Order: sequence, then C-alpha cells, then structure tokens
Amino acid sequence: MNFLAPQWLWTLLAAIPLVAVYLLRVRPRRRPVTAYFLWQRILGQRKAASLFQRLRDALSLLLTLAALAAAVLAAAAPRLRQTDDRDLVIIVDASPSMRARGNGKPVVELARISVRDSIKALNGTRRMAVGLAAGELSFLSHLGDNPRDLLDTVDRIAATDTPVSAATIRSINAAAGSSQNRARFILLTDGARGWDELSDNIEVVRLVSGPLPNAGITAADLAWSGISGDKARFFYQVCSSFSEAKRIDLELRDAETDTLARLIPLNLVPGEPVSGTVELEGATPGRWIARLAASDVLTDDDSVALALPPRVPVKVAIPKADGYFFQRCVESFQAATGALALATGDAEISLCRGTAPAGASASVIFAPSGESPFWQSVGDVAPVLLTDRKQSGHPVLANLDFDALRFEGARQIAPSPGSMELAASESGIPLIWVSSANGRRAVVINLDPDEGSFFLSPWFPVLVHNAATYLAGRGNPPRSVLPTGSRADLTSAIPPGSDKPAGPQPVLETVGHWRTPDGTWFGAAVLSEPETVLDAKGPADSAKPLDHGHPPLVWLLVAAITLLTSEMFLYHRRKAG
Amino acid sequence: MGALTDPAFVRRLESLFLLVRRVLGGSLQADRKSPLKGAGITFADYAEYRPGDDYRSIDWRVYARTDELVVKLFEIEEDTTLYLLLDLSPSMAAKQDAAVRLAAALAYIALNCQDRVTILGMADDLHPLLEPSRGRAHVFPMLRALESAGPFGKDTDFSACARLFQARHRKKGLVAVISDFLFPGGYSDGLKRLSGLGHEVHAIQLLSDTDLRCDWKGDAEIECVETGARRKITVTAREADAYHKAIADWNSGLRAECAQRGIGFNTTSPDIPFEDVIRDILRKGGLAT
Repeated sequence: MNFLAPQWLWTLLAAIPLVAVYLLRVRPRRRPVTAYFLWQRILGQRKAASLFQRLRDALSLLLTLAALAAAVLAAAAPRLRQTDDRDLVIIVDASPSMRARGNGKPVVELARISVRDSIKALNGTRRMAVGLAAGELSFLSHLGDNPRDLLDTVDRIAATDTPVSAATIRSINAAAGSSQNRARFILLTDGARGWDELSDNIEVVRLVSGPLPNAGITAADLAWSGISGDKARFFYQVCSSFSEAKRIDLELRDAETDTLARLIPLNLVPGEPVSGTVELEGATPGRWIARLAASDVLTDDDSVALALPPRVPVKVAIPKADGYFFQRCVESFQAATGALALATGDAEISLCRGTAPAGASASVIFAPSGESPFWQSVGDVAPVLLTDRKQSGHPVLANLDFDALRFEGARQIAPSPGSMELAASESGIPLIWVSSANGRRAVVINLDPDEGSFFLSPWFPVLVHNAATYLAGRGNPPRSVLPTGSRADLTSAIPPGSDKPAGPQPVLETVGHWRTPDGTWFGAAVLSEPETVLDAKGPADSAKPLDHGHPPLVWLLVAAITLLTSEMFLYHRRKAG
Repeated sequence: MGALTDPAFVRRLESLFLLVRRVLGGSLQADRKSPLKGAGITFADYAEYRPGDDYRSIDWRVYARTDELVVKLFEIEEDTTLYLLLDLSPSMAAKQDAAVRLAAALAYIALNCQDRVTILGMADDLHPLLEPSRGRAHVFPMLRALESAGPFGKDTDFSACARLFQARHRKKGLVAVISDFLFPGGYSDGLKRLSGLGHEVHAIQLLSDTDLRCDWKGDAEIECVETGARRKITVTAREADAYHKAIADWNSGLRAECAQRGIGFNTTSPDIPFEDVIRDILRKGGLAT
C-alpha cells in the first residue's frame, strides 16, 4: 500500500492530545452518597455490567484512536496496489445483441453496473469518458473527473437497433491511436462477433462469458412474383446459437389485417443457417411481418418488418419498327419485377429510336435523327472518348458506370432550348438530356444501340428502366426490408411512430415499418448474423480488471464516522446513563 | 453568638414551649406518673391492710362502715429522664443543623418541664454532649453543647451505640433517637436493645431529598460520606429506579420494625421547621404524653 498524500500521516501525532483530552473527559464525577451500602447491594447484582463498564473505557479509547487513524489514512489517500492511473475511455457496445438477457439481466444493464462501479472507483486523480458504439461512435461525456456528471451519463447507456459498423470500429481505433497511450480504451461488450478489425491497444471486457441461446432472422425479403396478379415470394434465413437442434415456427403475417399468411416450421441446427423461399398467393401491398416463435435471450431479431409496394408497372409502347431488343428488355422487367409492362393503346411511355411517334406524351429516344421538338439539328457521327456527368444523382443516371458506357454512334446535335443536359462528351456533344415541348416530354440518349453491341451490355436495360420510370413519375420502390444502420436511397423517409421525415437518404436507425412521402412502406430490421448468433466468438477478454467499488479513502471515512458514532454512543451512555 | 444561642432561636423555642403547654393543658411539672404506688398526694386506689403497712394510711371511715382495714394508695410523682440520641455521623453532616435544632427543641421543652435531660452524640461510639441536667438553668449549657457538637466517627454502628447506652444508662426514661437510620449494619438490633430496656423509645428519621432520590445519571464515582469508600458506576434509569426501590424498602422496613416494637416513629426532612415536627409528634401522642 502506498499513499498519494503521505504528509497527512503526521496528523497521527494528534493522538497524543486526543488521549489526554479523552482521559480528562471520561473521568467520572465524584458523588458523595449517604446510603453507600444500598448502592453496593444494587450493584452487586450487576457484576456482568460492571465488567462491561471496565472494558468500556478501554474500548472507547480504542474506538477514538481507530477513528483518528481511519480519518488520517483517508486524508493520505491510500492505494492498495499499484494501479494504472491513465484516463479511462469506456466504450460500451450498443449493438442490439446487448439487449440479450445474460445472467438474468440485459447485458447492457451489466454494462451500466460496470461503468457505475468504475466511476465510483475514480479517486480524483484520473478522468473518464463514456461512449457508445453501434452504427457510429458517439460519446456521452467528455473526459472528466466529476463523478456526478459521469453517473448522469450512465442512465443514457442503452442498446440501439443498429449493429456495429466497420466505420464505428475505425473511429474507435483512430481515437485510441490519437490518444498516444495516455488513456486506457476499454470496450465493454457481450462478446458477439463483428469486432474483427478492433485494434489491439483497446482492452476488451466481456460481460458475458459463454454462448447465449438465441435464434433470429438474419435475412429476409418479400417481393412480387410474376408479371401480374397477387403472387409474392418470401425469402428468409434463420440462424441459431442454441446448443442443440430446435424446432421453431416462422410466421408470416399481413400486418395490415393481422392475418397469418404462412406458418413455416423450421428445424434449426446450431451453426447452420436455415433459409428458404416460399410462394404466397393473395398477397396485398402494404406492411408485413415475419416473426420467429422462439423463446430465447434476444427478441429484437425474432421479428422483421417487411413491405410489398403497390404493383403499378410503367406501360411502355414500342413501335414495331424498333424491333426485338426493346421488346425483350421490357418483357424482362415485366417478368422479373413488374416495373415495366408492354402496352399498346394506353401506354404511358414510348420506347423508340430516331424520333418520337406522333401523339406520344413521353418518349425514350435512342439514336436521335430527323426533326423533333426535342433537338434543333442533327449532324454527323462524332467519336466520344470521355463522358462528363453533368447532373450527378439524377434518377436517369442511377446505377450507370460512365467509364464502361460507350456512346458509339453519337452525333453532333443541339438539344432544344430549355433542355436539361445530363451527360456530355469531352468535346461538348450532348449525350443524354431531358427535354419537353408542347406538353410532351422525352429523354434523349445520343448513341446508336446497334453499334458496339449496346443491346447486349448491362447499361441498356438500366437506361431503359431509369428513363421510363422517370418519365412516368415513379421512382425506384424501396426494398421490402433493409438492415438497420444502412442508408436508404430515398429522398426522404418517415421513421416508425413519427410523422416527421428523416431527411434525404436517411440512415435507418430504428426497426419497424418506415414509409416514403408518397406512402410506400418498407421495413427496417436488425438482419445481422453476428447479432443473432451469440456464440461468444467475438473479441477475447483482455483479462485486465477494471477498478470497481469506492476507493479506500471512502471506506476509511465511513469507518471513521462509524467508529466515532459508536464512541459517541458509549460517551452518551457514560454521561446520560 | 451561635445559631442555637441566638435570641431569635431561643424565642422560637419559648414559643414552642408555650404552645406545647397550651396543647397539653396546665403545668407540666411532674406530669409523668410513676407506675409505682406509694407516698404522694394523688389518690390512686385502696388496698387490704397488711402487717407492716403504715397505719396512718388506714382509711378509718371505711373501717367504720365495713369493719375492714384498708389502706389508701397514692401515686408517686417523679421526674422523667429524656435521653436524646443524636446521630452525629458524617452521613448526617448535611442534615446536622436540622437534627440539632430538633434536639434543642425537645431538650428545651423537657428542661422547662423539670425533666432530666441527657444528650448523647451517636456514630461509631457514644459521645455525651450533655450530662444529665434538670431545670431551666441548664437551657443555655444545653444549647451551647449542641452548638459545639460536630460530626465524629467513621461509620454509624447503631447496635454498638445501643449496647453502650444499655451499659451506661440504667435509669428508665424516654429515649428519642434522631438519625437518618441509614445504618450499614441495620437498625433492628439497636431498636431491639433500646426498647428491651424498658425505655419508651421514639425514632425520628431525618432524610433529605438526596437521601431519597437519585436524580443523576451516567458515569460517576460514588463515595461513602462516612467511610470514604469509592466505586465507579454507571447509573441508568434502571439503576436509579433500583435505588428508589431500595430506599423505599429500607424506610418501610424501619416503620414496620418500630410499629412491631411499640416504638414511636416520625419521619421528617431538613426543609420542615422543627416546630412543625414537634407539633406533629405531639399530635400523634408521642414523647410529651
């Protein structure tokens, strides 16, 4: 044991005057009595009390000296062992698996207890900061040594719906690296996987020692099936960290009507994901829920919010002269996603080459030629070496790789005034633009699809799909369900239980059903195998104990107060009987 | 001038004496009648004449009427000796003034009634304070003797004092014991000896509040005022209650002992004026009767 302020030990000399004062104080008053023999009779019956009385004076002096010693030792700030006095930065794993109940309590509650104990153990010479690690790293407090402020942050430690991301781990590593070893970085985690990139100079404290019995849905999707109708397909993947095989039912419910659509019995084998696809008939657009009827330690991964978007394909007309590839492209979308459908009389979009057919209100035009209200003049073919994206993020250009896209057969051409140029060559030749005239709109793509096997390139259906849905006023419907922590490629979305949009391309931080401003539902769920398979194969415990409990000086002060209280009780007995 | 020979105190004694005379009526001289029958002036009874009787006492009128010789008997009127046993042990130090005043009052009345008065100091031994005296001329010597009396001895041995009294004072009389009766050796033996000699015994117990009550608590070193013995104790409410019970039992035992032996008993405290004590004793028919 050593002391941070050993000079206070000199105050032990106060024991000398203390003993003197004590001896003066405990000297009893002399009382002459006339009936001494009567007192002797009374006291003769209390020999045990007399023995205690004799011992009491010595005990009282011992208590007084012990209280002084305890107070002096507390002032000298003792340390029982050589401790690491660096500042503490405690990062609490806030991923969904921290809600799992280990040892009867949610693991995040164990983390709170551990942080609270560490705060109590601060002895005034070191500081502490508390952070949460989930989808991103966030600090609940700055480095500080005020226990009250730090204890206030403990109540804000909570698990989130977002798994730990690689960016979070990089942030922790960077923070630990920048501290230059002046602070101990400690990660409190349940031992779930997903921390592979964690730096070695971060200590790990595992709050759960072994595997936890859990099962959960780690992947799911719900999509329309076929060209039309009410058929849909449901894909699922379920994982388990139970130690033995289990039979568990997976329910798929229409959340709009709360009706059970499918009940899928599963035979879960430890360590082996179980997946499958089931066909649904009579599916309706709207919210759906897949729920695993499991009795396990974590409920967050037992249900997944899903959604089916309204099934309204863009009706596309193709002039007969424009051939086979256009038709096959639309038919492919019709069969796969139902986003496009071939139409004749009531078509919304005309997919053509050269010029737009008369009467078409909206057209996607490849290889412009001739006269058209969407351009002013068409010149000779000019080579395109490089492509410049003019309107980054425009829906027509989504998912296009301009490094791989060749605009062969492009001509010198001038779009009509007011056109919005989306892409151009290095020499200024307009390559893709949006134009409108006389109430008609068109996306013009300045390349000849017959050149360079463009019909066989992946960019052909992409361009057709993007241009058709843009002109029809329909964006890409969101996926049925997205994992929490991912960013939705939407202009805006409204979180579950809220009416306020979360802003463009929001990060999905909450599980449940989200919706786009136009009312299309989609789901957000944990869908993370490391968060579900709680097999304790995460980062190993660093085996460096955290200080916990009050520092010795606190206990010494408590002891001093207790001893003084006991002595005062004895003193009261002496003076007041 | 001492407290007892102070004119004011003497006036109080005289007032008390006059009060006693009025209460008892007439002269108190030779008021105490001897149980012996013989020469005197007060007719007591007739008795059959026996040879040797004084023929002058034959009532010839009765002989004329009845032809029988009878003699008249008269009560012998004699003075009485008042023995005052005054406890002067250290335990009476705080109460000595009141005890001395009480003794002075009793002796004053007796001397004025032409009774013989003997005052003895009592502790672990008997110390004579006033040799047998009679008549008003001995009032001031009596008062001066009481004034000069001080505590003596180391303890009160009532039995030993009673034995000494028994040995030294054979003449029967009235014995008044003024004491707190807090005798470590007990009071029974002493009272038994005094009453067994044929004396008329009267006990006057003088107790102060500090004798009767323990109104302090906590640690203390009690010291016997007589022997100087000491002991450290802690007095709680329990010990105080035990003391109150012990002193109450002691006093009730004394009262019962006196009643059993036909001993007059009065208890008083230093705060009560001696005149009230004397009046109380007379009202109960003690001493002066």
